[in-house]
Amino acid sequence: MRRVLAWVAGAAVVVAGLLLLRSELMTVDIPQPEGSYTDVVIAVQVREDPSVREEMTRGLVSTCRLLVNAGVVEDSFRQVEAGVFAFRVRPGLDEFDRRELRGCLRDTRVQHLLADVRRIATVTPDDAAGR
Amino acid sequence: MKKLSWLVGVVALLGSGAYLFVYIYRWEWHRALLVGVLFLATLVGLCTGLVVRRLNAVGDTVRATAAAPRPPGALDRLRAAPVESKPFPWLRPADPDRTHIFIPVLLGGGFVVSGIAWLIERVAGSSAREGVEQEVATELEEIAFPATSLVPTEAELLAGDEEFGDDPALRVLLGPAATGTSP
Repeated sequence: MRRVLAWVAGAAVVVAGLLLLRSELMTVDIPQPEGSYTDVVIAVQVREDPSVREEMTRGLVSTCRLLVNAGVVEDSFRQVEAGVFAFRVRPGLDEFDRRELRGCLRDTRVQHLLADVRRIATVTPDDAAGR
Repeated sequence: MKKLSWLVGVVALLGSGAYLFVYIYRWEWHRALLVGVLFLATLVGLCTGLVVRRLNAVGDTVRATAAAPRPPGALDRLRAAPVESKPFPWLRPADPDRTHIFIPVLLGGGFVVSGIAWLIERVAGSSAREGVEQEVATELEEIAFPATSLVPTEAELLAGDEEFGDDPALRVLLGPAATGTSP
């Protein structure tokens, strides 16, 4: 009886996990309004010379923006403070693309570079006008 | 120590499995791949450990059984047992009305048929070889190339050109190809 209960519990955990993954890994394309954009702020740590931190971060951003089919707005990449960078991508990313971009930026795609996404938000023209 | 090893293995398996799920959930594929490899390695190690443990248990059981005392007199019982004197008992069906096909019969039949086929092949090959060879030789002679070349060589053309073209002795030396006649 205990063995059956253990199997049932394990199966329940697996099913719940699969359902969670299914909802989280969905790749539905939600069209965003024309003129929308997404602002991203990331904090990075490098195990290299700090002078190459910005270059490594640019490389990471260039890699990840390809995954979501978005381009970094020219001259939007800037250093907010030491180790914190901000940039803007167009067109604006929907919820699922934001998840993918966040995962890509936090992943270990560039050796010796760890990034944490502090903020990622999509701004539509209506949002911008309402400010 | 063994229990500690098992504990570490199980914890590593659960931890790597949980992190595998978390990293996939967060779309962090590189981390998920790394942890997935660790998860698989731990799983293989634990499964190997389980199999080895079971084999050791079986070995212990066999050794314990081998050391146990056995009832004596096995040789006497064997000698006292009735001897089966009828060879190939499966060839004697209990019911003569039924047709039985046994593997030895099939094997023997196959051996005999193979021998007959080999004998026929040898006889047919020895009787047909001479006639076949003669026929092939005749056909080859019909399609053989002529003994002389079909066209004159460059040297023959040069020798037969203009100055010596009318020399009959040279014609004889050059042969029919230089004269333009077919052999």
